[in-house]
Amino acid sequence: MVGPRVNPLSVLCMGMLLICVVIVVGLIAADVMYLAGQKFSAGEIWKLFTAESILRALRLSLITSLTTLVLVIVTAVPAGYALSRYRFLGHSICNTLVDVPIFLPPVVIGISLLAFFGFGVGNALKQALSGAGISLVSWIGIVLCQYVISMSYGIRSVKAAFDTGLQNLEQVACTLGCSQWQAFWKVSLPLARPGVLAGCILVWARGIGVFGPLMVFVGTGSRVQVMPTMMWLELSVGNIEVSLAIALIMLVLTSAGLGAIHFLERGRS
Amino acid sequence: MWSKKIFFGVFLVLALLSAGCGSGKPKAISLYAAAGLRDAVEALRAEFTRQMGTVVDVDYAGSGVVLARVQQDPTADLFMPADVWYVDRLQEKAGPVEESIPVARLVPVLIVAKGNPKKITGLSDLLRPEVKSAMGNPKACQIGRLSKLMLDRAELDWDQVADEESLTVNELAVWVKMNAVDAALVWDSTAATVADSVDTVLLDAKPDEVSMVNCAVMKNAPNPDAALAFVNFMTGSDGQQIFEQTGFSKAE
Repeated sequence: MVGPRVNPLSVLCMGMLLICVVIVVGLIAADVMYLAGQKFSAGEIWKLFTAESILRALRLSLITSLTTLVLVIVTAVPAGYALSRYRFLGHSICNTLVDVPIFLPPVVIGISLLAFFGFGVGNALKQALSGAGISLVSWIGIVLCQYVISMSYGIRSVKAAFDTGLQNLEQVACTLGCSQWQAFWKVSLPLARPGVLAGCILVWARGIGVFGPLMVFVGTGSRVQVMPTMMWLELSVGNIEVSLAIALIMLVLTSAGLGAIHFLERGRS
Repeated sequence: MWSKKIFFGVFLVLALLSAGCGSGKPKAISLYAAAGLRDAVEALRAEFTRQMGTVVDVDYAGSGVVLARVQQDPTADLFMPADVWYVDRLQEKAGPVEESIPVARLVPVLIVAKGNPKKITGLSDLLRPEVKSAMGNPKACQIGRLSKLMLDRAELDWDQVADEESLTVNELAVWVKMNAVDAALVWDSTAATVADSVDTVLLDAKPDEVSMVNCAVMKNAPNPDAALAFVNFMTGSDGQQIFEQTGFSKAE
């Protein structure tokens, strides 16, 4: 720091930071205090949090978000590497296109999926799957919605992680006799690992929170309720306690994820 | 120079502020209506405002959702779910409403893809594994609640029939239109809105499977006179004609 510790600039900046922190803490506290104010007994609280429907939604949320994470790792790590290392015709277009799902309102992704599977090639694909007994209105449809959104976050994080790695080290490895594949696997990937891991957690957290496209594409049937959609449904029909319970569960999960990201990123800078 | 500019600016701001308030305009009526009634209500409130000058503000959602919302809003004047059952629930929870007047009826029908390629003729066809059907969510909307009742009566298992659930009857029609599902149970009025893109399969609905749309005036409505005027408009000849034009069955 330059100059005295307490000066007009520092007061303004710390003040704004305090406001932001207070907003977040206030929202979390509001959730907790509303439930506490309902004067549930400990037994009732336990029953609320362990209701069969909530556990089922939690299970489905975890299964789908982890499946999405695996799919994103398999596709986004190589894709991010390509965007980071290779120069090819159409590089900047690809760079822009993979960012589109982040900027689109999520509901638009839902209706685009509806449109895709409604006609032409998409519809033929859907009928073929249906003939084999596979329905899109299932965990498969949920993973699809989550994947489209999370993939962008994944590629972004992976590209950034590889960008910070030194390309020279790869080239040095190659002069020492490594193939391209070995250079990637033994040099670049380990160097980028903290960034990639942090990206994975971001992808998982984003995936588990996907809501908009699900309402439009898979609906609100009990078979396909993940935590965000169940929370919305219960809230809509007036069951505020149930939706707050789900909100708190999601808060705990995402806080754990955030904590992990920060722990990993400490090692980087 | 500066003081003139400041004076003009302040004057402008005050003029703009005063233009909006206290001009003696009647306050808007607040209506909570079932999403399935949207086409009729839009036409009704436009005509009502044209004739009487009072604006009607509407919040649409599935009947179950609207029931929850209207209880939270102390400024609500009118509650118009897709069936009188929800008015009864409101009376149980919040005490009697001021008035509850029938304005229209809703008849359930099946809609299927144009040409009916999968040859669906009734509810039992929905059990076939190759037929994908969508139903309303029973908690959230009247069509869902009624669908559950009708399927239970026909001894058809909900989980086997309903492949996808929606919060509003309007969305069910969209899903059939976009080939997301092969069939859906909707209102006759909803079917009318997508008549060009779907085929309608009539069901023999029993008398208690026809939904009675009642409009209830809330007990503590802020604008009870204007609210009652709107209800009388809906039950009058103009209103009933608009219901008919938008594909709804009249009150009686």
